[in-house]
Amino acid sequence: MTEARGSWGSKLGFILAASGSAIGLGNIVFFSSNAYKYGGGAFYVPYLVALFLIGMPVMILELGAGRFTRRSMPNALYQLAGKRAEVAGWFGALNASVITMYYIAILAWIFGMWVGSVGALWQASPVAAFGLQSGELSNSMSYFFNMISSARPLIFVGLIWAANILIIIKGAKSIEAVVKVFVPLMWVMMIVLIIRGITLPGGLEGIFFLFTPDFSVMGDVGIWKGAFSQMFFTLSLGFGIMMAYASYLPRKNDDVLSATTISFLNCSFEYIAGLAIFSLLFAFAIAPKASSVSMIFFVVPEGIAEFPAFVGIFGFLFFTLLLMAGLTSSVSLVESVVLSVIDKFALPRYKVLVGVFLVGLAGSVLFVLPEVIDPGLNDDGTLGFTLLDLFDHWAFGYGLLICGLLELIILGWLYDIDALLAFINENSRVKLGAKFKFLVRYILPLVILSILVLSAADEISGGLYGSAMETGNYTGLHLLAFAGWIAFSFGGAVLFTVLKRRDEGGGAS
Amino acid sequence: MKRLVFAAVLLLAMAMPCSAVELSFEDDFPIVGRTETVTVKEAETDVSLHLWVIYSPNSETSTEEEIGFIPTTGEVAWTPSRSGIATVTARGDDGGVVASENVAILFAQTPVAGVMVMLFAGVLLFGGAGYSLRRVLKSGVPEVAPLIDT
Repeated sequence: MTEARGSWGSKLGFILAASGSAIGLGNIVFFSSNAYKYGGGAFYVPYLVALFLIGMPVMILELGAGRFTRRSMPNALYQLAGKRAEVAGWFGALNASVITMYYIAILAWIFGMWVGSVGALWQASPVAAFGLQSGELSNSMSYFFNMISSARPLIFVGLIWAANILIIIKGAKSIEAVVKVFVPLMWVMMIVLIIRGITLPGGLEGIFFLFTPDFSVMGDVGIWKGAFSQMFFTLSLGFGIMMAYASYLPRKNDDVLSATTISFLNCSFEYIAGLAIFSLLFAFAIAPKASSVSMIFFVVPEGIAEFPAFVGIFGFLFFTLLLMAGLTSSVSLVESVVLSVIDKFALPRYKVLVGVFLVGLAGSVLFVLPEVIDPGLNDDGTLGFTLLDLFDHWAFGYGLLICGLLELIILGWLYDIDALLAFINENSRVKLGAKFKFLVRYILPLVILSILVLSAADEISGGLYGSAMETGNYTGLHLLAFAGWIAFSFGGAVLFTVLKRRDEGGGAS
Repeated sequence: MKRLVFAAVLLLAMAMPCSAVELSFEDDFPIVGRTETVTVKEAETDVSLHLWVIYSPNSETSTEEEIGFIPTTGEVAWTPSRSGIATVTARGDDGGVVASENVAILFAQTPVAGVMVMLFAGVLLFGGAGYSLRRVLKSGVPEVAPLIDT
């Protein structure tokens, strides 16, 4: 039985939902972390290049392919280029599932900070698990490390997964209703934080740091890989999300306009999030401790604590919005996986939701395991945080780019790209021609392939990521994480591809 | 490797009991190229200490430099060479960290390239978002018939 596929109530609803997916922790947590990690201005210029060179073209293709086939990624690629292409689609969907699992773990920590924002977050406390006395860390840091070394996030992860399932249970309409309220609110909150940040001493200099190019380090391939991965992540590319969302679109849609609107809205939000966070980072001279992903948990609360009044209210509001930003994105991540399974196996939605919930919850629990394995906080502190760091390196740093590369090869070489471009051009004011085709077939694959090969060479010569991490008694954790990612994403992709298809119907015509 | 160095520094910092040694800076925000006096208070005179700086700690662009030996006066001249967040540490001969302080180092003058990138990116992103959103809204509500797979 195939269930009815919903549709968007309006174009604005789709744009807000798609930008709600694109605007999430990627903009606030990962952008600021990566921008800091790769040197501020040294990162921002490659990031802008990535937006135009990779981001917009790949999004146009994903929207076009989703609308053309009216299928989620694995099934869309299958329909366009057969079984070989389907493997790539499942790889993308399963790699996205890994990201979803730790993304929801981060959301669980955000939930914990949200709970703390009504009081405990603003008070100094000793961090017993790490042997730290009261006052050795800032209030927000001590609260965060106390929380991640406790069992509370295990419960929070369950709550966040349940919230995701509840939101998507009714499909596109419920997502649309949620994001229509929260996306505009997130913009307002970020603007309030910018005003606070730049009015603090040193705040403006933080903004200059974010944008001033440092040419002495910009030749480092790691920075370009970071910028390109960030672009894929922040625009939800290589996950199958955009294909899944576009499959709900009506026949008549301008994909070029939709892609540019979503990309510009997303990167504009990232711009203001960067202004807010870097101004606060400088004003309080915060050097992120442990994984830089945790930066967001320290920098913004420090800034809010310096508000002249209503600290608790602003803190509560900030974490509420962060939670909502994360939820709108995680919902789309879960939805793309759910839709992929429904499209292939023609299973009832609720059955697929239950399956995804159970597997996803088990995975997310791994990333919040509270056992302290690095009491010195040299790297990540707890077992869960260390696993998150390791899996993020592979799924985010490599998985998204590999998926992007495979998509380009499939759409550019295995499928007749002229047919897809003709379909997109039917309703697009800006017509895609020979130059776009050349970009998709030659330039983009070569750029991504070069980055992947050079990064892999660095990895081989410098040792597998995580080999030097403090992991206590857990030796070989880095190998386990690498093998786990390969088995789940690649192994799972092969398995899902060979399983018998029950829905042979297609939307392309 | 740089990450390892910083990790070692942090490990030592965490392992140390609360130290009586304190670092302070002449200015809250030191400036690139301008000499700053770093004061090390209550340093034990029988232990020789050295001052180090890690620019952009915990990042891929992190670098480390030795500022110099801390004399009995407890004052050391330091000229920051990079803007950004930095961690200044006082270490004993054995490399053990006895004090550590973060500081934000400002640019010597308003960075023209940074302002240009900021303005260019702002105009491009917000201009692009405004223009394309206007066109989306102008194009109206799509066809009513939902896409239904049966």
